[in-house]
Amino acid sequence: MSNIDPLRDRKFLLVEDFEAMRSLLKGLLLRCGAQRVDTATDGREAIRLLRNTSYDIVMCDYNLGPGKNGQQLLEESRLNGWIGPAAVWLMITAEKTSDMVSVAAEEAPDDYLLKPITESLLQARLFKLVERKTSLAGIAAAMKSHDWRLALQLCEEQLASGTRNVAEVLRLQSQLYQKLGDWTQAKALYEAVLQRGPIAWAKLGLAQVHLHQVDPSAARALLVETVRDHPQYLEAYDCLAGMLAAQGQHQQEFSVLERAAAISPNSAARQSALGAAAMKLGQTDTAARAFTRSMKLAEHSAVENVEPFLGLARIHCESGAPTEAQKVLADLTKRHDSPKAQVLAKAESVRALQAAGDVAGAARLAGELTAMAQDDANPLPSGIVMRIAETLMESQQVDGGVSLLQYVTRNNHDDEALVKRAQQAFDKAGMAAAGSATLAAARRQATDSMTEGVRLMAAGELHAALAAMRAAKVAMPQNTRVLLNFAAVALTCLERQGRSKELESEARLAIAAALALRPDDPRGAELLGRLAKVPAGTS
Amino acid sequence: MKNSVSVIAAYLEDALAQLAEGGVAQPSQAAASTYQALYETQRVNGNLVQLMAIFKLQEGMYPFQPVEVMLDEFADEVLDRVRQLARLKGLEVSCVAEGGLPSWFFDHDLITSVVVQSMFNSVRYARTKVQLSLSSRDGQLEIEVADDGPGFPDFMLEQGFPSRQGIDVRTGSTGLGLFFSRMAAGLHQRGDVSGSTRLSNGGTLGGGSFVIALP
Repeated sequence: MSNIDPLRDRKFLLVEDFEAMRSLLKGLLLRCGAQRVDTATDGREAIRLLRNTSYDIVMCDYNLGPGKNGQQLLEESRLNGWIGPAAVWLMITAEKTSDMVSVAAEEAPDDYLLKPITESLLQARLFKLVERKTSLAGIAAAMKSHDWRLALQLCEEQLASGTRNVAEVLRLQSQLYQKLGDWTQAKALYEAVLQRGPIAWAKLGLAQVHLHQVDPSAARALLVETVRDHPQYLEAYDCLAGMLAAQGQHQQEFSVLERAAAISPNSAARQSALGAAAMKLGQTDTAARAFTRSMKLAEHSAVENVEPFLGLARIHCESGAPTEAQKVLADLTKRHDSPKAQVLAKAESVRALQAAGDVAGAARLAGELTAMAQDDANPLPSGIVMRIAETLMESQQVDGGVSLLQYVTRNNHDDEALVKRAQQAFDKAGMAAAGSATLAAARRQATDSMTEGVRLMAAGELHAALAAMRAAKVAMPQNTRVLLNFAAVALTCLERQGRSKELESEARLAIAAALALRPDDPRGAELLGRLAKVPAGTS
Repeated sequence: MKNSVSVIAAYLEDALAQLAEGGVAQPSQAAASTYQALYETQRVNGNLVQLMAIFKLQEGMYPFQPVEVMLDEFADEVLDRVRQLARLKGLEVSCVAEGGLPSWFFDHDLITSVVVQSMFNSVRYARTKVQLSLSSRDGQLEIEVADDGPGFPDFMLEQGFPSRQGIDVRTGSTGLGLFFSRMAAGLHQRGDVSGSTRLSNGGTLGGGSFVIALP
């Protein structure tokens, strides 16, 4: 029978804690045409199997008893690459709850199936999902390797071929336009999608276009409408809260996040965001409750959840309990071993040492951190360096703090939001005027080094321009703009004078470094595209 | 509780599948009883789902989520839920789609629940035929479930939908399904237009007709 074939060679994993249900579901799968079905009774057993076998289809109950739930298992599997981009994850559940519906599209399973499940229903659903995932696997793989142009091209091919998955392809396509910085196309797409129906993601996308075009009132109106008409769509609350935060409207930001947390009370990320917003308002009791709840919710999750630890430690410091703070930070470093978690715990430790009166210890640790954060061989993301700088400034470790604020500014001279944060850190430390001068000098250092290169390019002195840009790159290896400008000049040389292995690889490295710093920078993707098309050498 | 109902339903299906494998040409009495038990179980399940949904809707906690639904897949799923029972009763179940609508936006679970319960009701009262129709009218999607049975009692037609205390003498049901349907339809809004439901007799197939219209 031809309709059995699509499932025959697939590897199935069935995760269900309820014994009777497990054997029934397995029977259903076998009758649907599956031949290889492994079963697990809980998250732990499922992880053991997922690690060792690459499953094509995972059918998983949402509620798995104590330990991980189905969503946490899915997130961990994707995070660790245990399931590939074409794998189908079908979540089964007795009823759909807010927590399931408000999961972001990227984190959601491919589908939910409500019990009771019949054989033909399951079979139809599996066929549909296998078809969809297989046809979208190419796009997913291209997106995973950040090849936005290829992904976009594949989307266009899918649409041209009359795919059944129009809605999903359009959503991916709009994300890709945004990633490539093509806001005009993105806007046109969102407007076209909204002609088809009241679709939440398109409204959010259009609001993001308004934000990009610096039209906050239009963005705000649209976001308020989206939140009203699609109360389960939590990404809209996040965008609205982020916008209110940027405008300094922290009370309203808090209210928006509070509503989002009420809709999805079991999301660790929501509770964490709520705690951070409460901190800004000085509502430490609310913040401590939210952080504690977030930590509890994330207990079985593989997704890094650093903020509640840092927030709670800070609350302890500020309420005169630095020993408690150190305990929380020790928990953090034990729980999460990423470089980000480790350095941020160290920075918060400086605050705790200072609060405990150990000024020498605080200064020693601050010095260590200042050196680590500026180590160009092991660069940290600018946002993290900024966090460290802010913490040092707040902990009276001004020398280290100022040096890091300069470093971040020099390497991100074109990032207005980050430079504004640097200025605020100075302001809070009562160093507004000195800070403003320091930051202006750091920005000038970055621009001056590039002005020379730009002047030489305009004068047609390609090689001299390249040398000047290279010098800037050596001086500011963490500056995305500098790296990409160097790559642009190198590409002009390559395009005019033909291929050169060394220069190509130097340009490629610069672009890769820039993309590592700002993965969504559209210029990086564009330059990579140009690099791929460099004509064969004339020299 | 709902999990247990689901397991009972699955066991019954399993039993039916095994009976079918026996290769009996005519449904045996055992199969007929099992089908009936399955039908009642699914009705209990459907009612449980609707009660939980009503509770959540009234608490403002229902995760209402309109998505784009492919209508051919939707129709297949709905028919699939009642096909076995209809076959057992010797009923012809058909589906008519007019207007060439490929998809529509609505809360998939909510509307599936409404339409499946209505189909079960029609399967119970139809003499020979049940029909699911999807059509576009005045910019709305209309989903009709019609049968050739005796139709709805007059008091139900007059009321349009039962009050929460009302008892449907014909079915002995509490009118939960219709109450739920109206609530589910009303959640769907576009501009000033809200979804609606209506009941009539002597419709497409001469018997009862239930329509849910979604903007």
